Amino acid sequence: MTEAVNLEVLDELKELLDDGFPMLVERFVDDGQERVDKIMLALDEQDSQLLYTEAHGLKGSSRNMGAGPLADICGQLEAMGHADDLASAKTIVAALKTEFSAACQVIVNH
Amino acid sequence: MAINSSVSGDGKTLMIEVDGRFDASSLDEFRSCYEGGQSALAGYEVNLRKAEYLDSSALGMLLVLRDYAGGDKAEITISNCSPEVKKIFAISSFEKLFSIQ
Amino acid sequence: MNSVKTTDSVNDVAPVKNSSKAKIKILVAEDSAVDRMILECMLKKDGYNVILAEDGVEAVEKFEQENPDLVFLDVLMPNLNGMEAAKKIRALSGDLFTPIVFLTSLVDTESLVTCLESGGDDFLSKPYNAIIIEAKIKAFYRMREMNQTMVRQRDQIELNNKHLMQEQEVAKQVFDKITHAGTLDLPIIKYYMSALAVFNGDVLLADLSPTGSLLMLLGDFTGHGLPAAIGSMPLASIFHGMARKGFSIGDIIREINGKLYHTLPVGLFCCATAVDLSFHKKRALIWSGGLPEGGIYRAASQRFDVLKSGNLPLGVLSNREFNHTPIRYEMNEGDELFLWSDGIIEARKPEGEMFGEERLNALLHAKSPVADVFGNILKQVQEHIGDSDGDDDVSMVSLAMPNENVAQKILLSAPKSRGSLADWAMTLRLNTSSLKTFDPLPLLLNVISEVPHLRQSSSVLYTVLSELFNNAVEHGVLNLSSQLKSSPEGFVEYYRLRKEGLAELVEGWVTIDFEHQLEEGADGGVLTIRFTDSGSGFVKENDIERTAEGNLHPNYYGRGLQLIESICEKLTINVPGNKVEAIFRWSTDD
Repeated sequence: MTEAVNLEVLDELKELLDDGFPMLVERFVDDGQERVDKIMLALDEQDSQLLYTEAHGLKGSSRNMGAGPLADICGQLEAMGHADDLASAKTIVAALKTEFSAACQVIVNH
Repeated sequence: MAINSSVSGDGKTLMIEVDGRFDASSLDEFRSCYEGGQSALAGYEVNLRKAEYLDSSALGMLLVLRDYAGGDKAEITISNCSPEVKKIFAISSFEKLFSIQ
Repeated sequence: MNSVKTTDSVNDVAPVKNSSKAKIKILVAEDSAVDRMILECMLKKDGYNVILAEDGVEAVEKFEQENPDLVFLDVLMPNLNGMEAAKKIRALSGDLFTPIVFLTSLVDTESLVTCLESGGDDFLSKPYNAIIIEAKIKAFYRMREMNQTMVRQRDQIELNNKHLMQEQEVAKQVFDKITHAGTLDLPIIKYYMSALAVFNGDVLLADLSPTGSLLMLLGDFTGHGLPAAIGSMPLASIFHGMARKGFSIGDIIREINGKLYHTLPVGLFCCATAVDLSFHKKRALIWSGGLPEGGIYRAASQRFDVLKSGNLPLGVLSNREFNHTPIRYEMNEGDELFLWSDGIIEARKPEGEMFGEERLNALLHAKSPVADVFGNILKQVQEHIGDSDGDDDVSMVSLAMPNENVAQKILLSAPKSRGSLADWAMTLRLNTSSLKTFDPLPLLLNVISEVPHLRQSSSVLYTVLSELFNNAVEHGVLNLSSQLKSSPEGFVEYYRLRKEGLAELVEGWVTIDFEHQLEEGADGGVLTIRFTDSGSGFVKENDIERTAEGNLHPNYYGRGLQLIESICEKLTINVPGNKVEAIFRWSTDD
């Protein structure tokens, strides 16, 4: 199984942001949670546009944080939202929740 | 008015150039140009390109130069004469004494 | 400085000390705090001045406030998305190139194309790579600098051009005043000068002379622009000044030539044709130097007679070498003189083909009624040029010989009184002290030069005046004998004695009288010159005996009176010879 977060990327970020790194982590967790919540709301309300926007946003941050698997899942949801086809979105959203938690754990503990 | 002289490249001709009025007031200046004893000279050229006016005393001065240069044997060219000056020379029959150009 | 900061801005990243980079201001617009923080840190670490915005609306606001050099824009942002923001920023940026780089994790080609089409210059994918970012910034900043230089230069050129246009406008008004001070509006003159021609140094002048002639000059200075046009100022003032005083066209041309020769730099000169059209003599005197020949269209035969040319342009030769004698042409009623500058031959179509001499000649030899010729040529030239606004540098003029009635009317507007010396007399008396030190010849020549037509004789008149003055001083006042001059030594001695005599002179005087009158009916006048001196007379000497023809013996004296006789109409010497009168007659009969 691949790593939830690429630790090399995290190391580089830590070095780059230095004292700002804890704040970066905090924002990733808080903003990420906010986006995950919105994605679930979008699923409940079958709001493709919202799903697309939020999944896209989370995908970008995830890539920058080195959370590849999470970004991939976001990418799938983004595509569904873009295609306005949410039929199989439910399982993916579930996987998103799990992967987000896993990623946050790695990042917070780093 | 001013008179300038120089020896030609081959050293044979003394070139005298008259600038402005050519009359008795330039007599001394004119004479000092040739009375210097350049013995090797074969001829003289008096360039009137810049001469504006002349009178009969200038004619006399030219004749004095001719005498100095050997009289009938003198080789003197008067060059760049305007039509008016040529006319004055013609009246005085100067063409027979000088080469007028 | 960046005074407005977002709450989560990272401030404590130590920037690399690089003053040139610190001058580069970069706007980062990104709604995701995480991505924003990472990019901000990367840029600050590289030493750039970073401004942050959290959505599209704020991005546009910050852009207006901060005027950044480079903009990073997230594509999907709340309120105003990146593409819309890009359009607004482009509009605000105006002429100045501000690179816009989209930040995106979009991967499909279609979306990327949309990004670029909406005004982005490039895109940057997540995850961010510091090296790629640095490379892109450098490349884009260079482009922006180049663009700024270009815009600055363009603005400078525009500004310079505007100034130039204003200056030319002022200059044109001055030129118009100069050229129109004359009589170009007479019914017998048709002319056309394109606006550009004036600034390429073309000049057209016409004025009526108190002698009943119309004088005209068409000139074309070498070179282009103001340097070429500047020579027309002295040219015009001499022309008008002398024309109204009644000087002949030859005198005017000569004066202009001398002025231009002395004032214009080498290589700048004026091709010109000058005309004196006399209505009652039914002739034109034409001096031409350097312009296309032009010609006279004969009303009766509808033939076009080409003018003779052959002089060098004005300002090339010194007046000593300059030939100012015009050529005489008969002009009958209705005959029309045509002159043009080479601009008309070189007039180009938009495609570049010249109008050419052949076309011009075809029109001139077409045997059309004389009244139509000017209009026909002008029409054809303008049709040929078409919309081409390039080198439209056309000057053309025609001058027709009027009938008696029209001529009468025109001459009514000619200057009535001659603004010059015409009928006059003067006396100059030189007393002892003046005789010792003062040379009156330059003064006398100046007076003579003020009289139209006497000016051109100033060289021979100098000879006359010099002879008479020297006779009066040497033989009269000083009582020197010409015989002394019969040998070279005596010649020199004579002048030494003259110098000495003047220095020691106790009492003596010379009076010089001038009388000048115009002759009724004839076009000319008489100058009477009288020298009287305090001496006892010199007639007793054999001064006017001539050397016999064929037996030429050079004598150094006695040439003076002979010269005067050949120049003047009449020479009278009283007895005992202290009063000499010479009569010099001039005429403009040509």
